[in-house]
Amino acid sequence: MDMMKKYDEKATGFMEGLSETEQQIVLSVKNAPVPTVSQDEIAAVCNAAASYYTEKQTIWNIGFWKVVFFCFTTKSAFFWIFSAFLLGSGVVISFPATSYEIEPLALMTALSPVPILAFAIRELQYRDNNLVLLEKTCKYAPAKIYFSCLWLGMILNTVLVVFAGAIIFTGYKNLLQLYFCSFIAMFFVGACALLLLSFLDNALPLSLTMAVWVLGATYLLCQPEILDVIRKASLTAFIGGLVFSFALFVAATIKSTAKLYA
Amino acid sequence: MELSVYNLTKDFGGKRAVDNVSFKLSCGVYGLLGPNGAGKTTLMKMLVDILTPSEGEVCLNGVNIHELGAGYRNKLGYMPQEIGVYKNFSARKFLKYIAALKGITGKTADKKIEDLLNLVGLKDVGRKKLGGFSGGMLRRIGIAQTLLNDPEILILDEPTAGLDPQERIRFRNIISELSEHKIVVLSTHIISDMEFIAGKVIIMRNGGVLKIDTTDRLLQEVEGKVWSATVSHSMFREIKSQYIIGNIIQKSDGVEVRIIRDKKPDFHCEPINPILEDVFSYYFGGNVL
Repeated sequence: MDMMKKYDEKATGFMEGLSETEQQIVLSVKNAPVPTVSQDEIAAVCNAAASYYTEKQTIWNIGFWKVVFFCFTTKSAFFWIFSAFLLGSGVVISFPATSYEIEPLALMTALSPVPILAFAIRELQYRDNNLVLLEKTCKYAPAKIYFSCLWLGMILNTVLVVFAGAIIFTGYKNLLQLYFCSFIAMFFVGACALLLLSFLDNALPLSLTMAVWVLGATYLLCQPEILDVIRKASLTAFIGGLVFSFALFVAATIKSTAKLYA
Repeated sequence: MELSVYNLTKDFGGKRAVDNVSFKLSCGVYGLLGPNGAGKTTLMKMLVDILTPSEGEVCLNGVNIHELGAGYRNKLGYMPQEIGVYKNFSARKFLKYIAALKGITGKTADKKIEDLLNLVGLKDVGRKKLGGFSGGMLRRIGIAQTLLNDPEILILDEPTAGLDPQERIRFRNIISELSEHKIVVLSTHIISDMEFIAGKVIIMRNGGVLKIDTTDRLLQEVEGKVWSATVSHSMFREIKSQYIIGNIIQKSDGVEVRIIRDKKPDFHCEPINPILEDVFSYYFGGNVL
């Protein structure tokens, strides 16, 4: 009531400067019934506004994928994958300087899974079960973040393989065959690595797997008989192989995620 | 806000770790007291939904916490018994990572992290790798990460283990300040910490809840049951297996013992005011580790 009185006193002086229409508007607003709002409703609206405004407002959606990308880069997976790619590329580029010739198909197929293997080794190397317990109590489920990081890593691996094939092996007679073999190897060896990851407590066996794969695949794929089979394989066979290895990789990501974050 | 536990049970193979526990928690600090193997950590893991109960449920304001999912975890701050960290991360980077998992990023996270590093006294070592931190420093990082999202429910498992007395006092003050509108459950073997900050104590034994009461009422229960006596060494060797001994101090003229017993012992002794440790000894016996 005191406030209304004060308002009335102020309003009298205020009204003098207004036109007739404006005065009518002010009076009709003043006389309009104001619905009562309970304290609980006011508190609820204030809390909703407060939680909205404490969220940083940007044009990008602060959501799950931002957290995934943050976790991916914070845990240096990006740098591991990229470093593995640089290592492989360095080996390839150094070959012209030596007299040792390796079939590009063999080299690409052998090196293509290295980035994702490096990612898997990185994930296992610093894994701490006590930290996993802590991560499970956070807002974003670590299983979903790990699953998403895995696919982010595989997308990055794919991009690097495509780049390597296009740039390093420019002029190679059958680039499509090169890509098919590389992607099949990438998904198949990646699946094996993830399945191993779900049973291991340390990263050494995975490192050994990577070494055996690179050396073994390079040697085997340089054998003329094996190269001949690959070169004569049909497009259907390649597509079938790619679909199978991709499906295996999907199954392995689900299994390893479930095992690591059960 | 009310956190309710209904008939909570957890079995691991043939062993029952938590046995049909029920209670309700509202705002305030609750101490979880019990010997090793009483089921405290298992109970806490079920309260933070990282362990599925074999039977029963935990509800927040009447809704099962598993159904609430991220909505419950958003209100939660958990400090496990063993702090797991990425050893190659610096303190700031690790807190930034946990903040991101809790949905806090950008300048809000940066400011929060700086405030918390200051609060736990680790501002000067924010850039140092966690692999080089001492146990006490890691525990302080654990406390800092718990408070990142301003949780309404704090579950702290042995939060002061490894902290020096000054750090423990600082931690107690932090919890006391924060607990006004929060539910805080902390388990500790340092009973003096519980005595200073816990309003109510939940006593557990063999997976079950023995008692839930205020510290004052628990102390009243053992009022008149705590005795102090100075005995010779030979007499001490006789009585130590017959009575619950709370504390022993070697003196020049013998051994000063603190005995917890319903009736006055048969030798000369004086009644003394009980402390919370005496309550522990009363329920679990003086030789419990």
